[in-house]
Amino acid sequence: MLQITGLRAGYGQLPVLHDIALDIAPSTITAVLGANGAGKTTLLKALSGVLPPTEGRVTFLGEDITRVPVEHRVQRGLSHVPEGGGVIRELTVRENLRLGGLWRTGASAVQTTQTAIDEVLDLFPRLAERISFHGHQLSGGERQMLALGRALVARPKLLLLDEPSLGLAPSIVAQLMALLGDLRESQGLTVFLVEQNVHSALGVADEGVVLSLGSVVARGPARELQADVALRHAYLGF
Amino acid sequence: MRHDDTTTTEHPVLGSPARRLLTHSAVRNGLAAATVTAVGLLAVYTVDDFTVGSVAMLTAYACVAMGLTVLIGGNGQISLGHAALMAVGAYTMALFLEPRTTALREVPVLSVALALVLAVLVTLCVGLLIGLAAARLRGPYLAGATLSFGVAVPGLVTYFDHWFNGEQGLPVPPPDMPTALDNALWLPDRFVALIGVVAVGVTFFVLANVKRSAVGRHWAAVRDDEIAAQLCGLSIPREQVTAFAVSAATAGLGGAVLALFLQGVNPHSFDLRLSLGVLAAVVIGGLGSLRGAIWGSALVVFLQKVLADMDVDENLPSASYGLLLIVVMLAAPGGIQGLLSRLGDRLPRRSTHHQGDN
Amino acid sequence: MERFILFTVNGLTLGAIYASMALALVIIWRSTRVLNFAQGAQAAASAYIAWSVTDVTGSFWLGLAAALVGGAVLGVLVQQTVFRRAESMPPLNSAVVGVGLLILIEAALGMLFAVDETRTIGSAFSTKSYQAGSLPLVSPQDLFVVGAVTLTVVTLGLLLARTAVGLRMRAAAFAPQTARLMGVQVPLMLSLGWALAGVAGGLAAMLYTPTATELVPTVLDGLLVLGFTAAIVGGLDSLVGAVTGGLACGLALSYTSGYSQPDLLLPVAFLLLIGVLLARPQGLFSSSRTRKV
Repeated sequence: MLQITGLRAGYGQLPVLHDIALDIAPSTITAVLGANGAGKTTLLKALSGVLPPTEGRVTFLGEDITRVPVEHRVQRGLSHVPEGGGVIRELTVRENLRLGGLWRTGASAVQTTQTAIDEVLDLFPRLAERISFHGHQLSGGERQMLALGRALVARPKLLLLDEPSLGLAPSIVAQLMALLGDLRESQGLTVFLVEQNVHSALGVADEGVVLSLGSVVARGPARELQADVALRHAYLGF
Repeated sequence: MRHDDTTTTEHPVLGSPARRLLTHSAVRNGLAAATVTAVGLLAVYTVDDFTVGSVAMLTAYACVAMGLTVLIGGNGQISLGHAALMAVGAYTMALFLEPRTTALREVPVLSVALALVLAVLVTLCVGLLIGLAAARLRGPYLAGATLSFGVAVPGLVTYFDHWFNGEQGLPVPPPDMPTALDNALWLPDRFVALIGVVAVGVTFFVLANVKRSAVGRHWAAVRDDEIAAQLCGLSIPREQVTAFAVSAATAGLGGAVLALFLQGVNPHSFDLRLSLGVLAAVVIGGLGSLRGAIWGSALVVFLQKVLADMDVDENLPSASYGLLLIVVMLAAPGGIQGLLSRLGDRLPRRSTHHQGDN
Repeated sequence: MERFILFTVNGLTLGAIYASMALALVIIWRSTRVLNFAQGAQAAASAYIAWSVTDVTGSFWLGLAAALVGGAVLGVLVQQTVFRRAESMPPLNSAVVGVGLLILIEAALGMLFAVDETRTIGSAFSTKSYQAGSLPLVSPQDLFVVGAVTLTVVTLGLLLARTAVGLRMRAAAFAPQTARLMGVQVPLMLSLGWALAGVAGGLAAMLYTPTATELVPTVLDGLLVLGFTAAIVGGLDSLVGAVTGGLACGLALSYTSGYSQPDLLLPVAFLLLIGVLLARPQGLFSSSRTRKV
């Protein structure tokens, strides 16, 4: 579904990612792990186009999207939930959700988006209760739900998630991870998940990718990574 | 903004007493101020009778611009109402001098000097008041408040017409010239330009030292990061109020010199255009740089004069400095002084002594 | 009483005009954090466009339409050429750019339209007040001014709050990065904001110029200052604030010049501004919750 070859990216003169090559299968959850500064967030940004790669190719559903502008990726089925969620504080929950479907055009756009919003509200009843609240009135967990919900309103095929568990209580993290698993089963969603929280990420993921200093140092089925003591000690810190 | 504080590290011969004296910033600022004054005096003595008026005008602009550049570039506060502060200085001058006119309608030089000092003091006090209010405001709110102050003062002056004689304004008598200059057939304009040059020299010396002093560093700290400055124990309002007051004082001086040159004051000489003109001078010269403020003032004043002499459309001077303002801000935010320092850095260093950026 | 009614009506009419200018400034500040000092000159240019069109066609309404369209085009032009680069700069720099543009446009208008001719823009309707008995109440022009501004404010408000385009514009203004991830064409939305501001500015020019003796390039400087005052009093971020600020300014100034002296207009505006700001340093309706430091 997503092929990455020879990918390099960085900030200005400073290269961060070196020659990344990955192949993501549809309807899987891939956990991207690694220490701070390993290049996890940069990789997500390079994939969503926020930070255009300096070299290499990103192919999504058979199409080369390396040079496709950020604005045009959501309509191809690629949604990126940035670190912290990117909930717009000045807009209400409803408006934030509507934003997720604004890329749709055509006669049925409004109807499709409304249906998608209703589905998301079924998924997160909490958001339905808070529907008229502004972004800045929400708690951290609610904000993270809204961010995820807004991305789901777009009905993406591939979801890029950056640290969704950051600052959340363990019970909420567990719910969130379980939800990702459900979405993979029920909707065939593919998830590319950057996480500090190694245990919960590998718990839900099919595949694991370990980054260090901007390169892929290990990858494989999540269970194997979890079992690899040497790898855990070297890169994952437990 | 360039901060060149590394002068001592580059000296191969640190032992030389003369050199050590040179690196002492007060002495160096004194030399720089003396240079500015000398160049100004040279101009006053050499230019023809038609140009000398522009020199006088330039000195008035330069006083204000130096104070404004310290406020904006050195402390991070904007003011769009400095013309009103100039008006305060100018009216102080007029009110003080008017009753002291002799039969010849000229006033002794000593009275003029006193009036200048008084103008500075009065404007300093007004600046303190405005600064107190300004210190509570940031960014666009400060810009709006000072803009509003700038356009309000002419209205007040017209309203209290029994003091300020309304729209007609007040006359400012010309100074009584020393006999030597009188004998040399000097016009009053030339003498005013002379006074203006001295005012610029003094302002330059004082501001250059303030910038280098602890006070100046506190101002810069507040400009760069208010929270960090506060954590270092600085009182943000105090630093902002003092910066505003000092800047106001130089505006008062500039306004007083302008009044002396125009031989009178009226509300219309200190309008929004003047505030914007001085702002233009500061930006074109390079924000934060005293020498830049002088360059910028020269450019704005002489652009007006040259284009006016060329008998082109009367709007051309404004058009060109409006355009310059945009181009400088977008392409060379360091202004003239920034370009000069960059040029200076390209040249091979002949002397190890590098002047600080004043 | 008669004077009070007269001054109140006059104040509300003036206030509506200030509100229109304040709207122009607020729309741009909200979306790009640029304080557009050039708005006064842009609006003056709209007025000149209107004058030219009316001069050729003889129709006030064609002129008005041209002013609104011209204002929008000019707004986009100014953004594309000058402000797009200034948007990423500190507010001080972009404010200075605006000042430069103000001076440049006004000078350019002075060159294009020589002073040898006296130009005026007439009012759309009669300025003679309807009477209730012997009490002069309100003139058709007053009603037109208030109506036109109300229509503009309501349309703008609905556009921003209720439509998909409005949601895109707000998202682009508040969080451009997130908006892009959601597929919003941020630059397009920002340009749209500049165009709408140009329309509001052009309308302000067309309503204000009839009250001035003559159309000159600097005719709207005073309106810019007062619109700016109104916008700041209202909090710079809020459309409601702009309208409230505009009406407050209009009333304050109308009572001042009516009961006292016109000389005190701008001093009173300053007092109003400084009074509001000392109580609330971010204006009345600012959406920013916390003040830096």
